[in-house]
Amino acid sequence: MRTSNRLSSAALLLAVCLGLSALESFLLPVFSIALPGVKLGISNVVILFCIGRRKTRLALLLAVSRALLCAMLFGSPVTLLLSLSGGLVSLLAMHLSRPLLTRGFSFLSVSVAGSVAFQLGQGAASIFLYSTAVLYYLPALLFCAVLTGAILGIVENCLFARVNRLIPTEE
Amino acid sequence: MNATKKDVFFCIITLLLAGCFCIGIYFAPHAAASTLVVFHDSVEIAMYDLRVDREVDVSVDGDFLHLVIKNGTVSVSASDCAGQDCVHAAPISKAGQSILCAPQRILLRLVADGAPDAVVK
Repeated sequence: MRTSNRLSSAALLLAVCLGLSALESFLLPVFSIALPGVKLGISNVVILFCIGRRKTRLALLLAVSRALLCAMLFGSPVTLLLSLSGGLVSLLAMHLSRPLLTRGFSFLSVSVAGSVAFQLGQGAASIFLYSTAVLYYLPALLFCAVLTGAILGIVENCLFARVNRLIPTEE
Repeated sequence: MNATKKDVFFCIITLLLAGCFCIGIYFAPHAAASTLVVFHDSVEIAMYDLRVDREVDVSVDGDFLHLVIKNGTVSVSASDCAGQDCVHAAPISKAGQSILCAPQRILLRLVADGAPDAVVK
């Protein structure tokens, strides 16, 4: 694929990521009734799509860019650190669980693995920044991570084949 | 691509593991909380006795947070942080529980140790 095509594809995916993150910021109070900071993580659908196409470096670029831009637009330096720590651990987990797609599993399992890893990474950053008191919420956050990961995985299962046809593959 | 039985099995196993964590944490014996400790950037800045109902304004480096201590329960009723996670957090009442305001770097933590009625630094 030509460099310009690669660049425009990456820019398009980043724009979709940011748009979904903005949408999620409006929905946050609905999910936070039970637990503070619980998010659906809708924008991870784009990251999952890149993982599915074996484009882990592109997924890394999107994850870092999303965290930087969202912190500038909606958050703070602290939220940047928490978002980066969770995002990078989540990306690693999804990259390592990608082979499951060829062994009878679907995006549901990859997404659940990524969601759980995200909470663990963010929890580790919270302990570093604050204290172990935040661990009190970790079990419930892990439970919600499995649910939100499953929802995103089901969405990705429906979308992947359709969207994959729209974006040209590298020759 | 559709979800398979293996996916369901994977989710169930993960849920069971998370559920075991939840049971362990939530049903472990907790000492009754007696004191609220307020931290900013990991530095203790105030302590309040939970036996005295009160409303407190915490103001640090231009950040504002309004606490309500009532019937041994602590909650945040107002804050000028961007995310408002602390305001939406459920009230806390047991030792070890905490409310975190990440943008303002303020942590509210309940402890079981005895303390003076109020200490503000």
